Amino acid sequence: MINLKNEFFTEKEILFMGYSSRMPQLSSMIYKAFTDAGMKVYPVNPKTSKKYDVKVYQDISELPKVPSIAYILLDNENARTAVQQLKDSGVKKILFHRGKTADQSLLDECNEAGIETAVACPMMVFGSGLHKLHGFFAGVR
Amino acid sequence: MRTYPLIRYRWSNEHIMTALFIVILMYLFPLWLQKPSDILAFLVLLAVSLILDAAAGYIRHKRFVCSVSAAVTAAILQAITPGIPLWYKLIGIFAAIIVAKQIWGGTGKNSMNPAIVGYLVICFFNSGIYMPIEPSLFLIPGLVLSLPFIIFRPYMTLGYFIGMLLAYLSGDIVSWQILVVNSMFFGCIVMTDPVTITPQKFVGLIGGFLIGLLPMISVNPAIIFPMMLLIFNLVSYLIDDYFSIARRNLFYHPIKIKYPLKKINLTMPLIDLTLRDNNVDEKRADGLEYMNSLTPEMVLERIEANEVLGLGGEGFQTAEKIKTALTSNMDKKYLIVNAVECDPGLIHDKWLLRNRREDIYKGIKVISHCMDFSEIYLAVKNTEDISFPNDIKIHKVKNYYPTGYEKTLIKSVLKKKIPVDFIPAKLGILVLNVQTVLSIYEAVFLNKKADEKYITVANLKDNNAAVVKVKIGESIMKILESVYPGEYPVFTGGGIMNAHNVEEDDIVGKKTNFIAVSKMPRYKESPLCSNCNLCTTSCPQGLIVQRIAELIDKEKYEKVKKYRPEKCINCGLCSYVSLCGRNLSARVGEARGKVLL
Repeated sequence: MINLKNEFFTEKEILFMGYSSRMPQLSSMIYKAFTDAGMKVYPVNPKTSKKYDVKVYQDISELPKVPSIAYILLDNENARTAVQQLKDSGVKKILFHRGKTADQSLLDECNEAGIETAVACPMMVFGSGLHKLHGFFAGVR
Repeated sequence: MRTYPLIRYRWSNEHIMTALFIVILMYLFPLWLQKPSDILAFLVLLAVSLILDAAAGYIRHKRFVCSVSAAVTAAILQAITPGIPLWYKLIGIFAAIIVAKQIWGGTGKNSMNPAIVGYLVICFFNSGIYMPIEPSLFLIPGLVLSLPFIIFRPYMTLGYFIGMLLAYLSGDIVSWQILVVNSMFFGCIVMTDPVTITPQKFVGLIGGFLIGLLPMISVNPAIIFPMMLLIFNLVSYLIDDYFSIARRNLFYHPIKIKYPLKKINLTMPLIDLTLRDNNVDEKRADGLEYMNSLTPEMVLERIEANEVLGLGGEGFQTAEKIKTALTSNMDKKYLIVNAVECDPGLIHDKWLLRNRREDIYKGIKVISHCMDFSEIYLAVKNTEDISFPNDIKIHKVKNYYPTGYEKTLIKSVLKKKIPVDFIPAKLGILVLNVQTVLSIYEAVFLNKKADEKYITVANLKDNNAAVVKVKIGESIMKILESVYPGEYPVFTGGGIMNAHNVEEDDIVGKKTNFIAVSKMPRYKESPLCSNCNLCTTSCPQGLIVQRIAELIDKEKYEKVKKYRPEKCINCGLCSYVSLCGRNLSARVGEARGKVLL
């Protein structure tokens, strides 16, 4: 398992696909972990909501710039759609939240498109407390 | 995008429940000294309680939620059923967690005290007299540490103490030690449950008194006491939820917020980012003689022509405000210069008061040139280094938030309460922010257009701040790059209590007072509201915040109107104090928007 902090997150900007108002706790926790680590986050969700506490873009085309790293917090079907969008937009690395988000076929598809992939919850890398411990045992820190 | 305070209470429901659990363990300690094997039994009880609560919480919320309240229930049940076999207690804990709590909706939604329900179920299966806590010297730390929990339901506890004392004086309690120990345990621990006991003063006082007295004079206090408590729980539920008895009679307790910025040097140099052109009438007359050459009409014309706006946050047309006060038919008129700057993230008004004192004084004289004021006040929080001529009365306000809000300030300075729908200027009371007064001076003396403002630019990661002069319409990101380059994330708004994320194309507006680099505040939006009512008791407008937020979450926009969310002044205090980490001010703001549409 690669050390995600040093070897994967080499840029200070990240695209957050799947920032959700239905799961505000998880989305905001991850958003905060990224920003506390000094990263600029571009959340994307095609659904609008008045319940967002941050600016959420509805499409990649609205972004002022597309970062080279993306994080996907979506189910498998929506993750596939997101990957199709990201392929042509200059994204070089994609972090999938967990195994259910990205099965082997999706990971292979990314690799064929020249996109480096990893599967891990970002809290293991940027979180504190028990998340840190989890990341240590998972070998991603 | 919603606004929110960038700072919050450090405490949460989980912290408080954990502290409560530890205090209850202190009551169990003497029992464990006598019979160490009870520790294992308690651990089993605790484990079952946590598993039941966590499982029910997972089924309801589709994720694990904190179950420390279940640990508290297990600990209370253990304390009031000493010597009872474990399997009876397991039945009791099942009844407590599932029947008394989860069926009603989980933590925060139950109408009856789960531990007391569990106790009654145990009594049903195993009749015996339990409940009184046996006195012991080892209980002293627990007794002392129980006291802070009174703040959740002080009237209920006070009533209970009085009832118990009366029972003792009439000989129904055998010893003062039993009186003290049981009053403290039940009065401070059990009866301060904010979920099941109403916060109403009078009802709580009477209810607590009756529950303290009547069981003690009855034949079987060990049964009568829990029955009465559960009946009171249901009464509380009806009062709070169905009869909509106004919670406005709850005691309002103002909040002091610790300043996040370390001691700032208020004589620091200004950072001036305005590129001023020289196309300005720089006619600086000597002192105030210049003003005497202008009529009040000319003064107002200049203020209007130079588009002076309220720079305290609301952005009203200042000329209109002055004219409204001028045409008021009140005999006495007052001017209050608001230099309170109660938002804990702002420093620019304080800086102006110490570095532009003479110009501010001239601004005050300009306004008093337009109309006769009975009194002129300068309202401040800190009078250190402030000196003005004797015609300006310096009024020191208390260091609470938000004392700088117009109507709160009027109440503090003039002791007059202005109703929500009234405009103070129509009553002859003119409240102007100190920066607005400065802007008036510049408009009249220098004929300068009011297109600049002083704002606070802060780096909350280092607890530093600067006073920056900017043009209205300037890019916020550009301003930040000039002061704290390369920092992220960036927030802006009226102050630290009312901020939002900055977008790339955001500009300085009329209401922008604050730009900051800060860590993203954590609003965990826990579904477990404990009904502590802190949001309501700290609201300076007396709004029933919790109910408004619930209705907004359920999208019941018509029902929310009767709670008058339009009174909200967007101070952000409810979000600041929310123990379950909810951004309540955003919800109330949404309700306000729906009503004002």
